[in-house]
Amino acid sequence: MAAVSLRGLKKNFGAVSVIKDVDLEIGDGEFVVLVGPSGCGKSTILRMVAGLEAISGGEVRIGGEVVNDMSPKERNIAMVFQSYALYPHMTVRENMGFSLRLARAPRAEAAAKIKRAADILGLGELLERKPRELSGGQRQRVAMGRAIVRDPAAFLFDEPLSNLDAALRVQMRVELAELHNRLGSTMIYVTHDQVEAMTLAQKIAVFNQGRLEQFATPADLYNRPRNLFVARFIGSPQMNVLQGRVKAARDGRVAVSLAHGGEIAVESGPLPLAPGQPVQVGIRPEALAPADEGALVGSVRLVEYLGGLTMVHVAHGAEESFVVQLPGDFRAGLGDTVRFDAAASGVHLFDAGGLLVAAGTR
Amino acid sequence: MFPRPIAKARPAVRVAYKASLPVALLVWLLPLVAVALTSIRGAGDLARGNYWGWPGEFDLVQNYRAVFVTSPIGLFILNSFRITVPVVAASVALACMAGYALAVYRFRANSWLFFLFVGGNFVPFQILMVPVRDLTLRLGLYDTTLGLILFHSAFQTGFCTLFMRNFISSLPHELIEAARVEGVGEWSIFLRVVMPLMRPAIAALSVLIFTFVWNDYFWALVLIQGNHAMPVTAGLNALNGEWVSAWNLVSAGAIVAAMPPVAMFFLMQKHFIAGLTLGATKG
Repeated sequence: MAAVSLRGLKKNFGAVSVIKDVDLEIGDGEFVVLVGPSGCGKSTILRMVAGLEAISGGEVRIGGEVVNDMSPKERNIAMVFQSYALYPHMTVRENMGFSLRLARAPRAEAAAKIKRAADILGLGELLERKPRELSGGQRQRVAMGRAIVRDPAAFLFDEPLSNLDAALRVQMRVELAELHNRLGSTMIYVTHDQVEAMTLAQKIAVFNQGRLEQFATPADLYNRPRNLFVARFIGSPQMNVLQGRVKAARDGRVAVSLAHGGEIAVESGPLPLAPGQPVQVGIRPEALAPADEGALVGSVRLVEYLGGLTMVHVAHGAEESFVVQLPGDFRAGLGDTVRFDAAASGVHLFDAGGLLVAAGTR
Repeated sequence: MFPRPIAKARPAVRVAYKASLPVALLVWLLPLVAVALTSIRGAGDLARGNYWGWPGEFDLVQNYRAVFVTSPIGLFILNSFRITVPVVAASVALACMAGYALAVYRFRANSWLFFLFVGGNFVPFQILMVPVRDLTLRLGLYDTTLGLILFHSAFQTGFCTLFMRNFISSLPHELIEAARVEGVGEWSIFLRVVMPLMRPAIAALSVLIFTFVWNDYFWALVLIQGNHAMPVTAGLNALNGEWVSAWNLVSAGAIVAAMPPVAMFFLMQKHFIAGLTLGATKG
């Protein structure tokens, strides 16, 4: 177990810069998720930590030691790949014991480690099988077992659940969280799925185009996203964004008039907001509730019924629209005019450049 | 789907297909049938010009015994093995390593090196005849099996490397990365992770190279003079008498000489397995 820290990390492919000056401190035993849209560089960062990708600038430290010029072999890390990458010609037992055997670990010790990993992951029955005789979930478990037996300084996961079907993904997510509780090891986990990130992580690093946008706990990311990108990326369905202008700002309350009608109040601290300033209003779909006198007016465009919940897509003016998350028993017909109110605590204000200027805290 | 299954074609096409298939098969096999038939004819048939008709006498045993008695064919076959087996081993082993390097490592001259291997295959070997003969003479390897082994190994390795490089490229790269992260050294990755998955490629290539080299006539003629190093293909000539062409004996010798590559194919057949990497990745 060890802390992992990235300082001024850069990666260039030829003239293209894919990782731009990333600083990240991952504490010993922390479960950190790197998340972002595809192509944001999160996997590249993981591969640089693993030593599979050369570092163009900055440094990677594992347990305080700079590992930039170390081969993967010397870094004592374990990595679980999206595609499992099991050795197809070896049984489950051989797959898990391969690195121990090559490292000339005493046979009894290796057997004990394999047994422990197999017990943790429920693989006891499958030890003599070949990977082709396993289901996707079992294969992914073997890949994790292969990581566990090595007692690595850190576990790296590269979208390990992306190849599994939805039900299995949820189950494996729970198992992964339990695994972390049980082992208490440093884990760095890459995914593009914000639900996975929110449920698994102690801290989440959100990346966009090779830049670290924000590194915070899931609750902080949800409640105080630093900018519009993070605000939209975290939370499902996405945060609604409406254009508006500051009408008045006084005593920690800001009144914003929306471009397509209606007025919204935001609670905030003292802020340098001047009347007339253009702002972008972020409202989470779950912060809206139907109200007869509601300030947000629109007509129903689409209703998605999910059982316990109903998502209502509302056209707001000619160009804008927003989504409202409502209880499953909410009924509305297409084209109906509906009115909503936003809880002042659930509204965020961003300036024209997308930076957070006021977060509605709960 | 292309090609379209013949069962779905028009009836006329189907009939034409079914009729022409046996004809094509016969034309294809005719030379082999002729050689097999000639190998059991007596000398009288050939003197009478009965090349294609029913044999006048069946000299199966006499002919095949004569092959072994009147010519040192045993020595020739042994020479063929002494040449072919080392060539197969050397070129396949070199190709595995070179192919691995070309497929797995990214280095500056990688693609140029690869083109060199590919390009070497386009050199017509006839133009190498004089330089190679001179080279072996100067190295003192003329008229030795070693000379032939070295030349064949060098010449076949190019094609083998092309074949192996493409095969290794098609293996999931994550397997190699997973092993690296696990702390497995490069040699161990090559020997214990990649090599076991290359079994079908090694088997196919071995059969191919074995057949190429075993059937070589040209280089045996160019580089070998004495019986001591003569492989069986070139040695068959010895069965023709000084004044008489004993085609029945040459045919019998040819059949004997053709057996080892056939045996090689059946020996290796069980290694031609598809889907060896099944289960390695999601697939």
